[in-house]
Amino acid sequence: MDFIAEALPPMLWAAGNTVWISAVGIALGLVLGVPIAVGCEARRAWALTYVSFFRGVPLLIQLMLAYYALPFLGIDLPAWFAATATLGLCCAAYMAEIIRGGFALVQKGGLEAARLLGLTPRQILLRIRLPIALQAMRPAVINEAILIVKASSLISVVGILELTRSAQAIASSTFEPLPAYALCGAIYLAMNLLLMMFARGRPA
Amino acid sequence: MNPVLQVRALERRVGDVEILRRISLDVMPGEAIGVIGPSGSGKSSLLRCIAGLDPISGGDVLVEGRTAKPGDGAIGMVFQQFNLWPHLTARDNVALALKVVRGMPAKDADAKAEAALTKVGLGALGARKPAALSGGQQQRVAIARTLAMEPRVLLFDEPTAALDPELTTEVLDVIRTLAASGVTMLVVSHEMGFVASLSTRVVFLDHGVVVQAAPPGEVFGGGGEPRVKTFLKTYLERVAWTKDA
Repeated sequence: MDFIAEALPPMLWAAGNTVWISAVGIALGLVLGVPIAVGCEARRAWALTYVSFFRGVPLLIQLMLAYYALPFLGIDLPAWFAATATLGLCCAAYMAEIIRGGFALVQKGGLEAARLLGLTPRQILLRIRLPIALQAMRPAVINEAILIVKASSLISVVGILELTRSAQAIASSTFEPLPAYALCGAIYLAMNLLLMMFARGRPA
Repeated sequence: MNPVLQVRALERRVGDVEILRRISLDVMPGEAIGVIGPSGSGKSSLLRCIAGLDPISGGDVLVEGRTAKPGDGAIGMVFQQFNLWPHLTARDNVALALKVVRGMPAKDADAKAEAALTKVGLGALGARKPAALSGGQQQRVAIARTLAMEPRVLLFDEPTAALDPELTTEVLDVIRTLAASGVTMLVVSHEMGFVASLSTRVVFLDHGVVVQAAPPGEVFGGGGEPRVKTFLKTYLERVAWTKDA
């Protein structure tokens, strides 16, 4: 109990960093995912290369490149910026595929019916394609959000004190790795359960 | 009386393939035209070209003397796969176009949607989403959605092909009632008995050409073209079912 009383406050503080960095990464991923999805759908080389790179190279290596390699090109990014940007750019590649998949599930026949009834392309997008696609995408988006929260543990390599790094620090200073990592895991679980509840709380 | 729908020398080609070859057809107000023929004969293409969903390579489609465009409300179409919007309730499926295309206030659009659903026997099911309806009910919602926009001509593209015999009957009854109330329609169907009893005229298509266009008594009564006779004979052999057979 003493351990929890001592370790919990700094870990919760660090978990705050995990939350906001993940949130920015997921938001960036969703926003950037849209133009990338459009680019992929149009078979644009830039979009296909983007998705191939960010899905094909491990996130850890991407973080290293952003933080340790870019300075050699004269681009020196603050650690938090390198971390959120890399997380967001990587997330965008996956979101683009999720968005593409969601729109692919919209039946062509429903769009033809809408066109014939006189809906404009804009109305068809807003009233039919988007709502159907969003509904189809939701489970995959939540899944990706959970993966990003967990993947954010990797940003400790650029020196940001987030949940995993704080657990590492507490484990090495107290020589009690088991409770430190168990508590860390429990906090990740609680955050992701909240995300899942948020996802289920809305009617499909 | 002028024809409400005029199809003049309609052609559709895709690459080298001629799907429709100079089809001409005048449809008078209140007529119910049954379109029959083998698969791949161009029946669905004919309806899709009339509706403006497929581009035409030649000829004209005129509704009340004017070239019809998709969405101008002149032509309504009911599809084989219903094509309802799965995220909206039956009522909203019917009311959406009234609201956003016709600019009708939500209250009036909903009332009109309810009336259209009642007309197809679904007055009580407006709050259900398509997934909670049977195939026959979904197709009736699709009919109500088209009816609510009051098109001049209603096209049915194999409206019962995705339904079992019982559900087929409930949809055919709705179409029959509409035809009796004077709705001008073209119906593509493989339900020969239905086409025979519903139609004022039957058009037989084969390889994109009108082989015969005549009153149903003539087409089904044995006085048809040889190609039509062969087709109907095959059909009758398939549906004729006896215990000994």
